[in-house]
Order: sequence, then structure tokens, then C-alpha cells
Amino acid sequence: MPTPSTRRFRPLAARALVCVALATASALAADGPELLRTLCFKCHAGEKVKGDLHLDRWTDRGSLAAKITARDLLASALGQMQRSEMPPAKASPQPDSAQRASLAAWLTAQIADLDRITPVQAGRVTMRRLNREEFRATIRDLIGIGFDRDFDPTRDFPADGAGHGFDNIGNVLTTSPLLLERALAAVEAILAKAVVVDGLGGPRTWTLAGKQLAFTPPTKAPGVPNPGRWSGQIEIRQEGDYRLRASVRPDAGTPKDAPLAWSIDFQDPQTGTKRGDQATGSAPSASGEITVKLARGSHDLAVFLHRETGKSGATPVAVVTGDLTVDAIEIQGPLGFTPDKLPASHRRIFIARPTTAGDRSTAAQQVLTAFARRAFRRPVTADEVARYLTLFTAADRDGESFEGAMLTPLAAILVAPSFLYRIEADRPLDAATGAYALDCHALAARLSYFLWSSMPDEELFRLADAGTLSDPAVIAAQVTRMLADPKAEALTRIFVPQWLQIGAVETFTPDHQQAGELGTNLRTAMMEEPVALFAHLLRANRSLLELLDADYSFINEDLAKLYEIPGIKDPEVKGRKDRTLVKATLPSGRRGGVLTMAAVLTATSYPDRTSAVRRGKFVLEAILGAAPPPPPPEVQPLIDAAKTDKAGKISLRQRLEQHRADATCASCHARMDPLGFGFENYNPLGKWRDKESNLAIDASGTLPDGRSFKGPSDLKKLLLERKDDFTRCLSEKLLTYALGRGLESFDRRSVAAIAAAAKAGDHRLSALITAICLSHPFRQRSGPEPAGPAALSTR
Amino acid sequence: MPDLRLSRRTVLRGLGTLIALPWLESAHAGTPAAAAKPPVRLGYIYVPNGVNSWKWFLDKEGTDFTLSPTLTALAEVRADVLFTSGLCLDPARGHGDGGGEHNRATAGFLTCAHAMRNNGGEPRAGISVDQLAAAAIGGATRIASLQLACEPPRPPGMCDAGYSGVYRNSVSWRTPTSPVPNEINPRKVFLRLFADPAQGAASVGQARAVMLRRSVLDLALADAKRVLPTLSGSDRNKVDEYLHSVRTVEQQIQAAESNPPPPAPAGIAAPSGVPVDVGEYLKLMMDMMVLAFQSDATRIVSLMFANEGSDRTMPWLGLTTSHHWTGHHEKKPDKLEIIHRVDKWYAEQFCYLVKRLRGIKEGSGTLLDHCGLMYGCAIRDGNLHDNTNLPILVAGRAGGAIAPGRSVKWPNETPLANLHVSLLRAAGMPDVKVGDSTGPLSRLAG
Repeated sequence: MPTPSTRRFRPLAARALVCVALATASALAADGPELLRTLCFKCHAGEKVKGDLHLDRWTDRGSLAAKITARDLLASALGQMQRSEMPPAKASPQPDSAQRASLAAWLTAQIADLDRITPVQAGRVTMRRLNREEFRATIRDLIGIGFDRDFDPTRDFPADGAGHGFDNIGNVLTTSPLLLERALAAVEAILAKAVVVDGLGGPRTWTLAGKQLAFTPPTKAPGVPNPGRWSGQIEIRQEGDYRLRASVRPDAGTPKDAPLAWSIDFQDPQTGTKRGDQATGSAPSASGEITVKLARGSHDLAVFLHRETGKSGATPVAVVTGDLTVDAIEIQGPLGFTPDKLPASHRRIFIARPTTAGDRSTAAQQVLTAFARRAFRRPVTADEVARYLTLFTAADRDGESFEGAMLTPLAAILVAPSFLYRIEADRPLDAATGAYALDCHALAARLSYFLWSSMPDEELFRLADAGTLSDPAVIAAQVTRMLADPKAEALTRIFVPQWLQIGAVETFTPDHQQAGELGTNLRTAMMEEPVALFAHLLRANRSLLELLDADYSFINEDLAKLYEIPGIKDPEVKGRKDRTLVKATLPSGRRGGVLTMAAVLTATSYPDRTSAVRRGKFVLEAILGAAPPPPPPEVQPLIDAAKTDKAGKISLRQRLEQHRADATCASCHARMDPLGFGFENYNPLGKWRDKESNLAIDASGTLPDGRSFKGPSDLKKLLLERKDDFTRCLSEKLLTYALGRGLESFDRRSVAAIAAAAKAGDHRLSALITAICLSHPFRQRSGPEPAGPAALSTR
Repeated sequence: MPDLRLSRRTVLRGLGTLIALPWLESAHAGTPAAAAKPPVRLGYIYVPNGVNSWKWFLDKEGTDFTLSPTLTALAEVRADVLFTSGLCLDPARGHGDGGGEHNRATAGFLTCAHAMRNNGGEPRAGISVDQLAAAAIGGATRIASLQLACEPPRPPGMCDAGYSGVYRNSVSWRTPTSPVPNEINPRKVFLRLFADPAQGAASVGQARAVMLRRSVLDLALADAKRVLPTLSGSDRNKVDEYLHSVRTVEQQIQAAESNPPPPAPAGIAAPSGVPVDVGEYLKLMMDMMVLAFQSDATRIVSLMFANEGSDRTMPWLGLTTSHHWTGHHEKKPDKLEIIHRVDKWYAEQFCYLVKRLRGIKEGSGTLLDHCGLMYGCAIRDGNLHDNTNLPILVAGRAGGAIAPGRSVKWPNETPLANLHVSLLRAAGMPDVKVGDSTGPLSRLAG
């Protein structure tokens, strides 16, 4: 089994390659194979090797898999050598610096050579289950049912797992019995709401008689006039008005026209009164008939002789005595239902309706064919439809309505693997690339779930049916169209918080004394701010570099207060009751871009203090795409405050500097900490500060490359100089989200091509997204055998 | 908004009044009560983020101990609890994988397996003891096992040192790659234990709905089987998961038909939802656990008081910010004091469970006599994240396998898995193997 940690994308090593390539001449590299042999083969050659790293296999360049293996081997060796992880300090011989440079140059050249002879790999996305967001959006577009506070049968779905920071990763989206049980219940509830099952062919009539009626004899409790009560149960599937009629035989001595009273679910149906005794009922009805509104569900209908109660004194006085026998209760309804009252959801599903008893099956077939095609996001075969038709046939009996009988096959379609999963059926492989081009319907689904988190619309279906969606010009045009659609809000709303890792803000509990208060309104505004910026860049077709720095942001009064933006007079912002974020110009210096947004600054803090390490790590991970490796085993950061801060006078910065004195920690912390210190002027909630515990904030720093900065805006200028790194990083994140899989070492070249296309498009965010949709891994899928090496490890 | 406090009270009113247990009434009808030995129930209660260990452990072994500042919370049930020390969860240690201690701790608590640093790939740990038990003895009850928690799962975000968040949300693993999600709504638990009181007797319409539901699942199963041969690699695993899920739901429906959930005992009403008050929430979930054991709906329950790394605040204890981050106490006395209070408060909740079970008669003893409850953390200290000498309590007698009321210190590095083995043996699984266990735990029965 491939070890994920090694085949993963390692941008750090990639960048290092470039540096080394520039710094060395190829002549230096001639002794590369010999150096590799003497320095590494002791542990990494032969049958049994350490860390499963067979470095002696680097020469095999036969098959595609061998080429990829060789490349990963060499890249792994290079990375570990450059991080000084290998050869281990206690091993001998140890290379001198010239030998290190020489080996690095040779490895770099070999890797470049392998890249030249290896076709770009598409990679293989694991079949993806619709996550909760996608399930909801798909139901919305397929059926036309929305979810809100009052109706949300997906609320109890178990949480979707996340991988690589995103919750749409195929490998991690598992299916449990709990999920399936909830999905089935949700599908039933959704269809019950979407479809009108009774009343379309006029009101139905039910008759409850004989054993279906129960008789509860009158009670003889003194003073309580409880008459004999006749009742039956009915299952109502369509909310509406129903007429109830009882056939009665008065007992001897009871007046023929004695008035009747009705009780529905032990309540007076007219007033809703519930007294709990048998006599709770409607006003008397001489005809014995009553029209009531019945909701969906099971109901207890009861009728009894109305007993007028006297008004004198506390004790009711029975006026009518005697009793009666009920032979039948007739229910008719729903009344007054006309087709114009059909909800849109119903009309969307039922494109056909039988006109005679004989064509029910034909109509069912038409409805199911159209519905299954849209639900499965591909053409369906007659065989497939026939299987769902058998469910209709089985349910279509006992006077069941056409629509009622259709509920079963419709539910079956919505829990079928073809609906719940995005299946990309394997096709014949192209021998040269080891991949196949996705068919147009699978491609349409990739586009729609990337940009909308939902199913393809009719236009995508049409292009897929026509087979023209494989044309890059058509794809580009579709991306433009789709980004302009309101449904594209899903991309921003879902991608941005996961990319920026700000989900933690939802549950962040600041230490009030150290950080201040975080109310619900502020929390919401904080979470929305980066989303609003990203959406604006897409809408206004602007540059993705504005994510790094901009002279405006999207704020409301809560954020303006936190940011202490003086004299915000904009009436749009001030006093806006709905707290919507609006675009506002920022005073220069302190804010602008995602890095100085409160959400990001909060998510990278501890409740009672900031963390330069976490903020620096965030910049490396989410902005520069150069995540540091996890800390070495058993390293415990800041274990004991008492040991380092006996007098309480040492700043956190100084404590961290002590920590960095340790050589094993230094290499990564030298990269992380300065980046984080640059943001020390922001407290754990992102509020500006000049001091912390009476110590002046020092937000200056020096990056490993020697460049210095003073404060956040200075640091942002340095980061803007690395716009290529940022573009590549955002390309990686969006590609991961678009594909639903982690990136592998072979994706490096695809990412580079995407980033280059974005750059050529003036860094417009839309250009980046279009480039992803046109990229090789987005439109192709590798064959079933893993394209990468069978097993590799960095350890 | 419904009065949730009231709903729990209503549930409580019925507890302790229901003595006749279904296993006595049905399976053992006609057998003299003395001859029919009540089955052993297994309960696993998980508490996150480590403890203030200076205030947790007892002064000495034996029966003549003084309760520690934290464990005075259990004074009322001192005779029913076995106070352990020395147990260790070695698989949760780094073993070269670096950080991610919280994730490994949760995933290792009941599996005693080393969770894989999955880097966004498929998570992998081991099979948990509750699931080993569910597979071996879960068939005897209507529900094989229950997985409960009192906190919603964390939002997706960057994984922790290469470990996905799923590791922190589940102690229960059906297979090494399938963590079992927890039920967090007490109402849903109740409706699995008992027939929905809102529904009358099963109507013709309902029976028909069940029949149709089964036909939907049959077709889903057939669909998946048809798709399976056309897929390869990891896609097949996904369809296998789907197949397992459909089959399980089918079995649940079948079981509900042939062995329908009983009506709730008189006086016990379904809870209306998740109580706002955390203490009420925990107690209500424990009530569900008690009801499940009492009605013999299942014999295996895991309950996470919170997910690992929980950020829960407890202002009434002075914990106004995240539990997890306060646990990174850096030996600061104020933080250690708050952590001690949190530990004690959680232990008080556990005390409630022990008392409840002790208050219910079963056979010639109490329900607690037939329970083996394990309570604790898989991290000792929230600052060090170490897995040595874990804070673990055992309650009940597990049908005689445990002699409680004692303080026992095993040699350091004694695998926690050995305790698991002993509990599973007590529940009727003599040959079971768990993670890094070296056999059953000595001195458990005295």
C-alpha cells in the first residue's frame, strides 16, 4: 500500500530544486551515482531497506510506474538531504558541503530528466459520496425543495470527514449505517413534502366500518358527561380539507335528530381545545357532517352524541341522554384541490400523468426515466428504468394513487449508489498516459460540483449529451457562465473557510481578560469577511493577489468597531440593522487582505494569547504552499512556564527564541516564527495592540533569506513579492477541492501549468478557476492501478 | 422552546421503577431466577484532554486509601469503583510519527492500535473493543451496540499534524478504516430503544411503508452489487461500505419487525432534544445508557462526554475558555486548578451513572453488579500529552470479574488493553485479543 506521507506533494522540495539548479553546474554532478551509492545504499539498497526506501531502484525507467517511482525516490532523497534529515548524523561517511551540492545537482538533473520523459499524470480520484452540502444543493436543484430551520431532514446526518483541509475528499467520505438510515429517512421526508399524492384525480373517499371502528362506552363518573365514543384511525398523506360524515342509528329513546360532535386526535377540531375527557368535541352538528383541516400523518377520528352542558354552577348538567350506534365514518378529501395548487417540486418530477388506467405504467416509465437521468447525472438505460418500474408496479395496488405508488421508486433512485456517489466508470486507457478522458457527463458533474456543489443543469446536460463538453473552448465558456450563476456562491462559501482554516472561529472561546469578547454577531461577521472578498474578486473579475493585500474590505459595524476604523461615516455600514457586510475603503496601514482579517488572526490564536508559531505556520501552509513538516517526535513546546519565566518578565517572543536555540527546532521555526511575529500587533481576536502585558510589541523580523521587515504592512509587501508562490499555493488548494483528492508528487507539473495560466490571465481569480477546469487531472482519470510507486517512505 | 429540564425529569421519574427485565421475562421464562445469570453489560465513558494528575491519583493501594482531591467526587460510590494506576496506552505514543497525540489517544482508547498518520487519506486504526463485543455478543440483543456522545463533531479544517479530525470524534471503530459515528441527540437514542410514543399501534399504512422501505433497500443492494464489478481500487471499498450500510439498515428494519422495540415504560417520556445545560445533557445521555442496559436493548454502549480536543467552556467552574487549551497548562497554577475542577466535575457526572445503575435491582443484586464500566482519558496530562499511568476508573462487578472498592497499582507500562481483555472475557469472549494486550489484567477480581 502506498504510504501517503511520501507520495504527497512536496512543494518545499520543489522550490529547493530550483535554487540548487541555479547554484550548481552540471559538471559538479558527474559523481552523483557514486555519491548516492556510498552515502545512501548502506541502508537503502537491496532486499531489506530502511523506511521502505529502495534507492537502488532509481535506474529503472521502463514502465510508467517505474518512472514515477524513480522520480519520487530521487525527490525524496533530495528533500531529506536538504532538510539535513539524511544521511543521519551518526552515520559515516558524512558528506562535505561540496559533495552535498554535487549530489543535489545530480539528483535535480535526474528529476528534470524523468519529468521530461514522463507524461503528465491525471491521478485517480476515489468515487465521491455527496457530502451533506452537496446532498442538500443537489436535492434543491433536482427537486426544487429548499431547507430551512423548520424543514431540514439532513440535520442529523453524521458529520462528513475531512482530508487535506476539505470535506469533499473521496477517500475520507465514508458511509455508515447511521448515514444511510438518515439519508433514507431524509429522502422519504423530502418526497413527502415535494409530491402531492392524493387529491389530484378529485377527492378520495375512505369508509371506516365494522372492525375499523372502536367503541368506548360512556363513563358513569358523576358530573362528567362522557358519552359513548366511536372512533377510527386514518393515515392522511395530503394536507387539506376533509369532510367527515357518520352513519348513525340512534338508540331507542335518543332523538332522531340528536346533534353529533366530532373529536380529532382528542381535540375539538374547531378550537383545538383538549380537555382530556371523552366529551371534548366540536360544536354540535345536526347533519352529523363536519369539514376539518387534516395535516399529514395518522389521525384519530371520533364521533359521539353531543351533550349540551348546563351553564348553571360548577357542575355541568347533561341535557341529552341516551346514546347511538355508529355504523360507518366516511372521509372525503382533500377537497377543492386543483392542479394550479401543485407545488413546483411536484411538477418538476411528474412530467407525465396517466389519463387512463391502462397507461399508468407508461407514465411511470416516462417520469422515472427523466428523473433517474437527472438524479444519476447521466443517461439511463431502459433496463435500469425497468428495475425501478417494478417498484412502482408493486406499490400500485389497493386503490393507491399514481403519485403515491411512485414514491417508492423515486425514493429508491435517491438512495441508489448512482445518486449518492459520483461514479466515474472506467474507460479504455490511453497507453501513453495511463489515463482516460472522462466522458462528458462525468466532466459536467466535475464542473458543477466544483463550482456549484450541486448537479449539472440542463445546459450542461445538453452539452454532455451532444458530446461537445470535451472541447476546451466550450469548457471555458461554461466556467464563465457558471461563475456568473448565483449557485456559484457555494464555491466561495465552502472553499474559502476551509482553505483559510477559520472553521475554528465558530467555537473559539477567547479568554475575556486577555482577548476581549466575541459575540455571535461579531463571530458571524468575522467568518463572512474573507468569503465576501473572494466572492467580490470572482464577481468583479479581479486579481487573486488582492487576497494578499487590498485597500478595501467587506465589513459591518461589528467589524468596523473591532478594527477601530475611525470615522466610518458610510451610512451603508453604520447602523445597518441587518449587519450585512458592505465594501468599505480601509485606512492604510493596518488592514487589507486575508492575513489581517480577524477570522484568520483568531483561528491561529490560543484563547488567551497569540501564537507566532501558528500564524507563521498558517502563512507557510495556506499562503506560500510550503508547509513545514510536523515537529520531530516527542518535542514538547512550552511545557513549563515556571522554568522559562520565573519572574514573569520574559515576553513570549523571548521564550520562543529560547526554544529556537535548539538545533532540531531551529530549521523550521526560523521559517515560521518571523512570519508570525509580523502579526503580533493583532491580539487573539485580531484587534490592534501596541503593547502586551505592558511590554511593547515587537513586530519586526528577518526571514531566512535575510530580508527584514517592520510590522505587518511591511511583511505583506515582502509576501507580495512572492506572488508566484501564492498563486501556486492557491492553485494547489483549489485543485485539491476541485478534484476531491490530495495532490501527489506527479501533480506538481499540472499545478505549475495552472499557476502559469493564471499568471498569464493577469492573476484574475476567474482565470485560475478556468485553468483548473481545463487542467489534465480535472478532465482525465488514471487507470485503476496506482500510477505511483507501490510503496515509499520518507522515514 | 420546550422545557428540556422538564423532559429529563420525566425520563428520570421512570428510572428505577422498571425492575422486570426483558431477558428474564422472555429468554429465561420458567427458569428459576437464581439459575439465570444476568448478562454482563459493557460501558465505556471517554473524557478528553487529560487531567491534572497531581490531584487525581490516590495515596496508596488497597482499601484503606484516602480519596484524592479530584476523586472525592466518587465518595458516594467508593465501594463500587476500582481506582487504577499504572495502565498505559503505548500505541497512542508517537513511535516516530511526531504530533497528533489527541488523535492517536481517541483512536487508541478502545482499539489499542496506533492510528495511522493518514495525511488526508483514508483513516486507519484498529477494531475497537465495543465493536469486537458487538460482533461476538451483540446478536443477543435488539441493538448490537450504541455509540453516544455529548458534543457535535468538530467542523472540518486542517488536520492535526497529518491526522484527520475523524480520529478525535470516535472511540468506536467497526473496522480499522471505519470509525463509527456517534449519536448525539438523546431523543434519537430513546426512539431506538423504545417505540415512538407519538405513533399509535402500527397501522396498516405503517406496515405497508415498512414493506416498501425494504423493497427500496433491496433494490439499492442489487444496484450496488451490479455496479461493483465495474469498479476497481478504492472505488470498490466505497461500494463495500455502502453494501454494509444497506445490509445493516435492512437488518435493523427486519429486527424491528420481528422484535419490535417495546413501548416505553409507564411514566418515561421521550426527551425532546439536546438540553442546553451541559450537565443535564450528560445526565440525559447516561439515562439513555441506563435505560438501554435496564431494558436489555443492548449490552454495549460507548459514551464520549466530549470529543478529544474539546473546546467546551464551563463558566460555572471558572473555565471560561477552551478546555483543550487550558489543559496546555504549562504548569501554571491557575490553569491547573481549573483543570482539576473540570476533572472533578466530570467524575461527579460519572458518579451519577454509577448510582443510577446501583439503584436498579436485577436478579439477586443490582444492575451495576452486572456492568463493567470503564471511565477515563487516553492522555494523562494535557500539557505533556503522555500516555503513561492513565487516569482510568472501573466501576461495577462485571458479574464477578471485578472486585471494586480498592485502589490497585499495576506496574507502569501495563497495557490498558489488558483491562479490555478482562472486561471482554467477563462478557463471554474467552479468546479475545486486543491491540498490544499481553493477556488479562491481574488482580482485577481481588
